[in-house]
Amino acid sequence: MKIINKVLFKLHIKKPPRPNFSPSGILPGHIKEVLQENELNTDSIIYSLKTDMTGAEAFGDCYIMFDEKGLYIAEIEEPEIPKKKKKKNTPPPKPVLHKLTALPINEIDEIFAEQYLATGQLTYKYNEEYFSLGYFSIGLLSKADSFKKIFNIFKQGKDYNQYITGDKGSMCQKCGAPVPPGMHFCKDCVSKNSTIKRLFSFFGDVKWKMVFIIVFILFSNALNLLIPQFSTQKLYDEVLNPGNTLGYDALLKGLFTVVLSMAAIKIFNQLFTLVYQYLVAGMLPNVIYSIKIKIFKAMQRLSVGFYTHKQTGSLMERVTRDSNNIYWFFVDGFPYLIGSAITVIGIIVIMFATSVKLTLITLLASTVIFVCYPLFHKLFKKMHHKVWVQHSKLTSKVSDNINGHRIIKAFSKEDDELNAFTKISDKVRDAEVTVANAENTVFPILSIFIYLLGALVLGYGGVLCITTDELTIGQLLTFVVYLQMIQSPIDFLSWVLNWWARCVDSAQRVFEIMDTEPDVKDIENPVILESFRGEIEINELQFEYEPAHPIIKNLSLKIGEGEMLGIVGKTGAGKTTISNLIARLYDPKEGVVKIDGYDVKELSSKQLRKNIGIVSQDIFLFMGTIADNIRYARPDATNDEVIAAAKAASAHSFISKLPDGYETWVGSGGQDLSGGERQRISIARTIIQNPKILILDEATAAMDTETERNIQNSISELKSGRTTIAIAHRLSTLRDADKLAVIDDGECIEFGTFDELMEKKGAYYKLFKLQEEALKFIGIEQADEEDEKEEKENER
Amino acid sequence: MNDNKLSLEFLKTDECSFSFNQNGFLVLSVDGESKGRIKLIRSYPYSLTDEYICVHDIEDNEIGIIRDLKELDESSLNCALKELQNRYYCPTITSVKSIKERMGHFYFDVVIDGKEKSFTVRDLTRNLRSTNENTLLIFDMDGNRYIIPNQEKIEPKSRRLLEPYLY
Ligand SMILES: Nc1ncnc2c1ncn2[C@@H]1O[C@H](COP(=O)(O)OP(=O)(O)OP(=O)(O)O)[C@@H](O)[C@H]1O
Ligand SMILES: [Mg+2]
Repeated sequence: MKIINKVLFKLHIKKPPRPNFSPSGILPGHIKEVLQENELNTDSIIYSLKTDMTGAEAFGDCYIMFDEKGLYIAEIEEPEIPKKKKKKNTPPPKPVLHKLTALPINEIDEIFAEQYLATGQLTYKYNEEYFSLGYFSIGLLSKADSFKKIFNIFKQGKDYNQYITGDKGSMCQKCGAPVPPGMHFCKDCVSKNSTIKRLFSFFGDVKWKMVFIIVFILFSNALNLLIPQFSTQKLYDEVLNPGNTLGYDALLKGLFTVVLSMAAIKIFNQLFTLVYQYLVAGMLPNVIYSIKIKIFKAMQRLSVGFYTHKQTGSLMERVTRDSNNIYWFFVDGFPYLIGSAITVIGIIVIMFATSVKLTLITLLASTVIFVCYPLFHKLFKKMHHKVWVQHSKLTSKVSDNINGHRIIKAFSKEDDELNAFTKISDKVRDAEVTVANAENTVFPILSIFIYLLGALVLGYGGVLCITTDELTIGQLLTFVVYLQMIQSPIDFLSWVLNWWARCVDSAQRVFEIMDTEPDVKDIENPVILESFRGEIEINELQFEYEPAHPIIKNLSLKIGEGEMLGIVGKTGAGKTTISNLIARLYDPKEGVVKIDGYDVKELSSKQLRKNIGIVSQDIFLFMGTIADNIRYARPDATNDEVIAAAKAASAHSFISKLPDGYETWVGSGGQDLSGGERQRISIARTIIQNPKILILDEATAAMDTETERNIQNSISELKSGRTTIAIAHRLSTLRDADKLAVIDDGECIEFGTFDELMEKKGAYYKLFKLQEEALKFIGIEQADEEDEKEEKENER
Repeated sequence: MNDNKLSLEFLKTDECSFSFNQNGFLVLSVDGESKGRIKLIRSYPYSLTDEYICVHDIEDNEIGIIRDLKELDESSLNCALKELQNRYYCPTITSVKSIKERMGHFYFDVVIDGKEKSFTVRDLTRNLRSTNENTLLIFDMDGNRYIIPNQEKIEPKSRRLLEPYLY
């Protein structure tokens, strides 16, 4: 080993760092070495799992592995690799084996992975008795699950090889380059991430306008700087000088020049200001407009998961408040910032030209300010963040309240809600007061300081003026005037920092949205199907909304083109989740959803969603008329089509009874409709989309039996040539289904035709009998059922 | 039953006896009848850690609820507490060394049980949660869970680091 290191060193080749991660299931080399030293034949190991706990509450590395003969548990301590390597060529410290346990494989019947709060436990069963294998932290649940799965498949004597998949390692989420474990972006992508740089990149399109604006600001401020030269120095030294020997005419002429040049400078100064302000006002709304569009666009691009994870309030704040913060900084702050900076620099230069000594004193005294600024900057940034957080909480509360106003009224909770609102408002106020207090303390202190500085300068200048002839009265007075002139830009600069802090804080949040990569993304060249047939195949699907909380566990289903599948199952079984996965609103963790033989990940999501219509359980109507809502999927649908779709969805009858008909305004701020009416509009919306795959998620749950039948009849007309998935609790809804699937706890426990399932006398049979009895109980005639059966017979 | 009041039936604690079997798993016998391996589940995991404990059998069917573990006899109580402690064990963060943000990912360096640990959190609004009891929960990208039991009491430096992100 050491010779190799030496050779590498000589050749100036850096030894590749030891990977501290390894493909799952395979033991890393250095661990193998240690185990082999302890007489464990690691070559025959089939699969291994690295866990991070050695006991219920003890962290420590532990390897669990098995071969044909036994299962082994090795507690191994891997000394940490120090972050700063002292010597480049020291070999990595050797792992130490603390404990090695071996269990004969025929004394293990089955392994289980049990899930606790933040940890999990691997257990096994032998002769109906449970034994513990070890613990792991919950993040390793999926790895522990696959260990369990592979072991159990091995135990059953089946082929486990297909389940052994390598770990892909980590990738940069932006460019896909490999990155060290624990990181998500490669160096290149991260370094581009300066918020300030990116903020200015919004101005890329208007670069030249910006240059113009800056030039005009420069001119206008430079001119401003000249005024004291005339108004004070010339006036006092040349005109009002008591030792002046010039004649009356000459004095008058001098005075005249002073006044005239002052006026001329001011006029030009104002002209320049006017021009740049005009330019800024014309340019910024466009920039902000593009920022807002960008945020909105980024939000549209994001997957469903993103929205469920964010509070509405915080999202709305981003589109409105944050872009406004950026706007105001640039429209008000930025020109002044440049102007002030120019003024300060210019004045300092002029001050130096007037009197070096006096200037040095001034600068020395003002270093205090320059030291303080960065501190204040940090402080204010934090404070503004707090204010923002409270504001977005408040917005969330308000939107929560508006959405739930009915419940609030129904429980007569108005007072409590007001109290809760007041509490949050108090917090907003407190946060704002804190900022205001800080501002009101910091800035007056700075002003006083500057004022004192002026007094100091006047005193010292007076001494210089009287005792030496380094300084004329005019110069001293000009100096003081400049000192006063510098005060407001410095004030502004100190204040603009705070403003800038707010702007950057906002910008960071805006970029957060823009940077969030959608979880569900099209591949580079998605397959565009020529004809979408609508055959669905689901293979060993696994899915979880949140890590370590599996929802769909190993589900397989097949639905032929044009067939209707009915899905039943307990609430929370994962029915809606399945439909979400078919429409690829989420990507599965494992397994595939295939449509027409293609993995949905390969298909263009645009085409996919165009061809899948979902009538979802919770219905959302957009702001607009009923006709707008029905047309949502296909805005070019004709008026005939809208009414036809409404008729098919049994919505026409109630819509025509509304005084405003199809032009009734619905959605937020519009007329309220009943649950069943909304469902019917949502069905019409899907019908007009004319999708190849129709998913009805409890689409008729809120309707009376008669309306449901009407809709069913029209749906069964529409059904031809369409794959339909209907999810329902009421079994009568599924009477037309070709196949039925019973879903329980994320798995398909029964699958087959109605007759098959009834014959099987399993879960579906039980459910059917139960509902039949319930119907009898509430007095629905048996005839009704028979009616239904007859109808079914007729259809065949 | 009182008309206006919902009432809840609890397990009769004097009939229950918890113990660990020789394999280290918690078992229950009610009135001498063994229920086999069981699970204990907290109803109010943050505020009432030893009350309203649901008892499930290994198939996850509820056997009953215990109003307050303190009603149990001492050996049962100790076994139940031990089991809950294991089941609800959560790594406790004692101090936060640094929090760095990179494109929406937050890299935490913290100290847990005297050992340094790093983890990544993806979406702070959701994965940094305060409970009513001032407890701060942190979830990392892998779904691991960490806890800061009393966020007011953590050392000032850690608190300052966390503060900007607390919602
Ligand atoms: N966005 C989400 N984040 C986390 N968990 C979720 C989310 N959506 C659903 N779940 C969980 O997933 C499980 C399955 O939900 P799903 O909506 O698929 O049930 P369902 O079978 O449609 O039930 P129902 O018959 O009541 O409509 C539930 O336990 C639910 O709590
Ligand atoms: Mg559902």
